[in-house]
Amino acid sequence: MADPSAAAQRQLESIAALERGELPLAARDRIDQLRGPDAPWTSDLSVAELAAVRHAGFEPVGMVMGSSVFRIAAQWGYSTVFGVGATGGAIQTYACPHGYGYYRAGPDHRYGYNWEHTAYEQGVVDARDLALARITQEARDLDAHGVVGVRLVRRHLEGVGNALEFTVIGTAIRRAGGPHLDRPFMSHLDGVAFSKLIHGGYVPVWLVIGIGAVEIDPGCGTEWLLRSWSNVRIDQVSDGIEAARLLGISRLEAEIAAADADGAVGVDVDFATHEVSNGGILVELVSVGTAVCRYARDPLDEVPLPIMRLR
Amino acid sequence: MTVAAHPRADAALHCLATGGGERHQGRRFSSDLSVDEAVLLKEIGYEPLGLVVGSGVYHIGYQVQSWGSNQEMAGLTEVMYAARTDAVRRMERHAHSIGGQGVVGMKLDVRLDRGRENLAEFVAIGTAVANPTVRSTRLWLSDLSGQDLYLLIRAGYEPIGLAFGACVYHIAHQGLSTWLGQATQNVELGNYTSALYEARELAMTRMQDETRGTGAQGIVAMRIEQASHIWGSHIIEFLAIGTTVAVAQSGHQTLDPTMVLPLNDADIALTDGPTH
Amino acid sequence: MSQLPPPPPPQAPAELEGLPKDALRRLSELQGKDALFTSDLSVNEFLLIKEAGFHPRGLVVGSSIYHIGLTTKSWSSSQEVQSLTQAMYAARELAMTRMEEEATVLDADGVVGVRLDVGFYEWGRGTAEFLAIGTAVSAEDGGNWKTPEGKPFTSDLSGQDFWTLLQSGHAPLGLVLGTCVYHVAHQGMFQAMGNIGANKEMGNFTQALYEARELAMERMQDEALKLKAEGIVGVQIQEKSHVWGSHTIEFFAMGTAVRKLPDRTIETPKLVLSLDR
Repeated sequence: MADPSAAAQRQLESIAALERGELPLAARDRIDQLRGPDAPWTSDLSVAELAAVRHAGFEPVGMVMGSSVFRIAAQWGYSTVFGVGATGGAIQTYACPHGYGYYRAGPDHRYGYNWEHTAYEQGVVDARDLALARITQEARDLDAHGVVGVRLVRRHLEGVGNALEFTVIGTAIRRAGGPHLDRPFMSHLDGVAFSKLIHGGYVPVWLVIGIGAVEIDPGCGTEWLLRSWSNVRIDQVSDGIEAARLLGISRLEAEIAAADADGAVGVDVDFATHEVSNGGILVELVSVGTAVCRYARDPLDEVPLPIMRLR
Repeated sequence: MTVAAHPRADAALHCLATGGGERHQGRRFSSDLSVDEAVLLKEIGYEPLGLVVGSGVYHIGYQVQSWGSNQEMAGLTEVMYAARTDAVRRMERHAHSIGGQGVVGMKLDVRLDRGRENLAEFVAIGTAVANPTVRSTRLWLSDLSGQDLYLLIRAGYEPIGLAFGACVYHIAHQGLSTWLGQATQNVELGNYTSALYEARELAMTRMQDETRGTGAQGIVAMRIEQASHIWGSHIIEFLAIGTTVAVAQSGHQTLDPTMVLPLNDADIALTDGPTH
Repeated sequence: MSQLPPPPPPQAPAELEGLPKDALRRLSELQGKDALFTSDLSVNEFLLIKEAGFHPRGLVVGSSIYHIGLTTKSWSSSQEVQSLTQAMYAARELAMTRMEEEATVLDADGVVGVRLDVGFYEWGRGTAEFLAIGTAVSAEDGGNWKTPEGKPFTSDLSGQDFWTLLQSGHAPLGLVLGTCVYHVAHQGMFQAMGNIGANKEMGNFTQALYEARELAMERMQDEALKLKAEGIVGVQIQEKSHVWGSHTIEFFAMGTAVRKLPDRTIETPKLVLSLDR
């Protein structure tokens, strides 16, 4: 029954739609179906979440998704690909303690550099932006006020170069008769947490991400410390890691500001180190959270009740 | 279809639609607090300020002089203690710089870099908080969660700081003759018992020493962690760590808990979000 | 418009001439007013199901062994593997129908805590066992909880969730599922390697993964529409390659379709703070 040429044609149309910034055909079909009269809503809310979302005055309208597979520009050291200073990415420099040479004057005498991987950082942010734009489009098409329980899939695809898949998926919710929002809110908090947030005086705004990636390319002074037996602080490595952490946090704060929000809650901090082929270390801090706005200052309607569980 | 009235939901959406509400009344914050923690801390007057972090990478290799004896590795104890203190100081400086009065949910970790021998990152991370109605220059640290801190303050206590003590100990490689001699008997290995005993006691004593002069009246949620990090099984670090507290001016308050019998199979109550 | 309709429901139980004899004998022991009941419910789940006004009747199972091998043609394009989609669909439907059959024998009103497992055996390459297992329950007040077709309802909700669902004014209708087995092209490597210094979206891969998930979800929606459900709760989306290698992936969506119960309101939950954990 399936006509292969028709299927291929459909795929091409979907890809073209994606490039135009629209949704692929399969997504449009499904959303249209959800909008139909008497169409059941879908949700990955648990029953407790469903009750909590209803209790907060909202109702589910459908599951929504956004996805993007993104090719990230070359990730290995700037020193191997571009040569020194080609991109001006060094944020910290460590001179050879013996006063020798410039970069790689010899195997035992060379400068150390900490580089920021700006292309990689930007690639992750771009892929996230595309995925969020698509889930927003799906939510908007359903006249939703926001999406709760957004799960985030960030993974490297097997055997496809430097491909990064970024997928977000969650349940769109709506308050009947509520004001129109130009941009529905996005939250990675589940339905129960969403309900508590609303009752606590905050409203979710946007999914924010802060990423800092720094490659530490050790100089001879650092190498010497690494090989010695003295138990001391290794400044270059410490500085590189601290730089990555602070970059990650400050980017997160910049995104919160850009979302016109007051802060972020439930931030998940993921820190990883990778070995790089030229003997360096790539350190990466990725923090993901929900930016929130404060809409009321009043305390909770009732003080939490301390309980003792009888097991 | 009629929609049930819900002033909070309407106010929340109105804030998003118009950019109004109470937004931007404080400093922007980033925190790794869960929703429960953020809401509860707000109830006791604390606002989150931001994620604060301090870290340092240290070389923690060792050379053993004598394999046969049980003894403290004083050099390693010193570097482990100094590295942790340094990470905490850096985090404190970060917290001070954004106007923090306290740090909650603090974690003090040692991360090993598998690719590089003898390297360890010591990292202190937490969320800085402040109570805008209170003037205070003192900074307290605590590894308690937001929920625990809420209960602590509601019960009439205040956190003073974090106390920890470390001891790195070398456990002797047992000689062949002793092994053969004891193989058929069930006896206490007195030297090992006393070695591990001593190491733990030393760690706890050092932790207690840290509280002196801070005004603390006690240590809660104390624990002893033990780890061999990169050294192999015969060298063990014992770390005693906890939050020091004192009774606040209001004195101890009773919480008078209600007894409940949960019907959940998971250990989370129905009204408790699975967010943490 | 949907690209292809979900496969027709199989007339499976007829093929097997109903349930195996052993099953009927086991179920006969569970019938009657004061009969023994079996279930894999925990004590708390049992108590909450009783609280909700239901009585557990017995553990019901359905199983189907299906060949799901990959017949490789030339895979230079990303496309749905329709033969596999249909096999995965049919095998699960068969297992579920048999489980429902067992529940019907017990004259149960529904099945709760349904799990759908796929197991592989070493003796059969490309052969998988699809297993549906759950606890049949009957309403104590004799109310009508069955689906519009008069069959017992099915749901993957736990006893706690079942109670909460009824409290919040909903009742389960049936388990709904949608699946799509998709092949992601091997080609595209050259495309991927070219222009390596720039960040760029890979449209063909995005489209392939996007479409596969959307198709699975749309088919699940179709099933709920047929049941005249109000909505679907607890949707899980699984992505598994089973035995096919990393380029062929099954996107499987499953949830419980629910309907509204008249005149029930949600009780305001109380905020509590536990002192003992």
